[in-house]
Amino acid sequence: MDVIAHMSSGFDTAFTLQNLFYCALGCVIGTVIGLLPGLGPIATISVLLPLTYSLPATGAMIMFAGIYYGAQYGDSVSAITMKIPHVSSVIACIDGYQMHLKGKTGLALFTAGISSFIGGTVAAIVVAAFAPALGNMAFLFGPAEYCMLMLMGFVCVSLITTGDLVGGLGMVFIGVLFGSIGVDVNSGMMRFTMGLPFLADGIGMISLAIGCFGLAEIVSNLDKGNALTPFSGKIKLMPTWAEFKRIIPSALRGSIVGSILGLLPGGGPTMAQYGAYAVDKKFSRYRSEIGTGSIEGVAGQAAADEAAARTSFIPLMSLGIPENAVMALMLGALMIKGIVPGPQLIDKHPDLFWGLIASMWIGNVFLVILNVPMVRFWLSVFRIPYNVLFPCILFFCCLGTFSTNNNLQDIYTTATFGIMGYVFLKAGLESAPLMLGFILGPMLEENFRRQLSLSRGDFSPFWTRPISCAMLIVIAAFVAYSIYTGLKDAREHKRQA
Amino acid sequence: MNKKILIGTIFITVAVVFGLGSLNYRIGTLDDLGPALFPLIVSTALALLGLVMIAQGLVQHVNPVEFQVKNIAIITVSLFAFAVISEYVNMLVAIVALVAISSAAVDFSWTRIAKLVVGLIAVAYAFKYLLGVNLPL
Repeated sequence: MDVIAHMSSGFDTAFTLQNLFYCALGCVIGTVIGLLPGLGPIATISVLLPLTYSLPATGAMIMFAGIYYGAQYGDSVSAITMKIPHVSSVIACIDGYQMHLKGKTGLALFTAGISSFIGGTVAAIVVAAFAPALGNMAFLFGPAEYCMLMLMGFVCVSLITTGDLVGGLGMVFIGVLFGSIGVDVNSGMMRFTMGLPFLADGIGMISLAIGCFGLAEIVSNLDKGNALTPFSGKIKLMPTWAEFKRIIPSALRGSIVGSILGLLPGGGPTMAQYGAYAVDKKFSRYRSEIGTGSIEGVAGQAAADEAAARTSFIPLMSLGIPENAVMALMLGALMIKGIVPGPQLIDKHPDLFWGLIASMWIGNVFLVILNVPMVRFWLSVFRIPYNVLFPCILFFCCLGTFSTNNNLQDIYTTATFGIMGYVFLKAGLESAPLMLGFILGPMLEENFRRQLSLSRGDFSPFWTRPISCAMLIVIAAFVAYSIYTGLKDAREHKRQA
Repeated sequence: MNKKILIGTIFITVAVVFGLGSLNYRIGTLDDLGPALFPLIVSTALALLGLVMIAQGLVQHVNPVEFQVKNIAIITVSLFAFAVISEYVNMLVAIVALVAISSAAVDFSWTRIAKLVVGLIAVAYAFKYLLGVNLPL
């Protein structure tokens, strides 16, 4: 019954006035950026990352987590009412928008809110129960396993976020190379600094993130030049009892699917939604209605979304390996505070770990309060025109860059990465794999070198150690699968031509 | 330019820059790796991926890249102006410059710019005095 004792101490941490405030603040910021175009959770967290210097570690993590899962919810509101997802709610656009067209906007929003709550609650239990166990498993991990785990994450992220293994993996490698700029930890040698002193510490993570995600996104929105049409209609929120009964099973299914998919490297909300939608299509009693604006189509994916956003903290907290770009930034925040995530984190910083989990559940309650009765207020956020919004976002990007080192020159770096991110965006490349490669690259190199010096230059531990070998097989399977689908596409292309 | 060929070119360029760069350092032996080996392996892999991309681009029909230079140029200039003016004058003037220059990307309106400037200056003061960020105001 350790878990219960730990949880109650976690709630003690989370229920302090300070931490409640950070949690609420995170949820509000998250909801707003989820609703608005131009700033996703990655850009927002990187802008706010310098604040970690002056906040306590637990408070900062609680706030960032709130931004992350709050954004998932805000995004689904935007997807339902306007069919514009900008974080990950691609699936909510299908049934959610259909329900909106049928005049059931209120019901769709209520379903998304309640399902998110269910998903978040289930996931909080999963995190509390499994993270310590996984932490124990981490003691079986040597450098070979860490290398393979990171490679597996790279392959999964590339396949899932971009759907194109070659492009995604290329971005990961560019990120890894960028990450190798600066002093080499093993030999003390300066690498790729071109004699520039400011590169000795490496490229700034915050400049890279703000440039690639913030600035590139702003410019691409300006290029599109489309004005948003704000929603202004009647909203009837409360469902009938019959409708309410349909939400529950689908939300529970989604919670389970989301919790599991959130654990996998490269996983997280995007993959979880697709998974939950597929499961509902197969097993729901109302499966024939899915796709035409059914409650299940909204409930399952909303629950999965929230569940995955929370369980994706487990690999970070117990293994110290972030599985997506947002988690990579969380790792950055922890490192600013001198906390090294990994198997010892839960024992060494119990208040941080359990407080964060408890705050996730409290955050759920906040989101329901914020969103279900106040949804009308949030929809009015859409009325802010983009030509007012984007100069503000630009200013925040400057502030975030500047306050990292109190250095105005960093803004030049950020602007340069903005151009780079824009070119990538126009070429159809996602920047998320680059960010992941950038953060994990130094860790990968360190573990790779450590393994080779442990085994005296012998590569065989990578496939003779069982866990490492299992991960190698998974990687090979993913690569084989993507070569197979690639060749199949090419053949069909030829037939059509 | 074909998207995939552009991507392949980017990949190969980055790979060549880092690959050649890493040759300046010690490669080492397998049981005692030097700083050069890891970047060299990654650059090689990246170059191979670039070749695959170019091959795909030559075989398949891919949409061309469409760049609009105007907006990215405006935003970049506004950021540089912000940094330069903050450094040599102060951040209040820099905010005016940031908002005014970046507004060239959309319709230009003095009243909107004025309102934005006032709002952002208030935010900047809040950052300085409430959050303790050391801004050059």
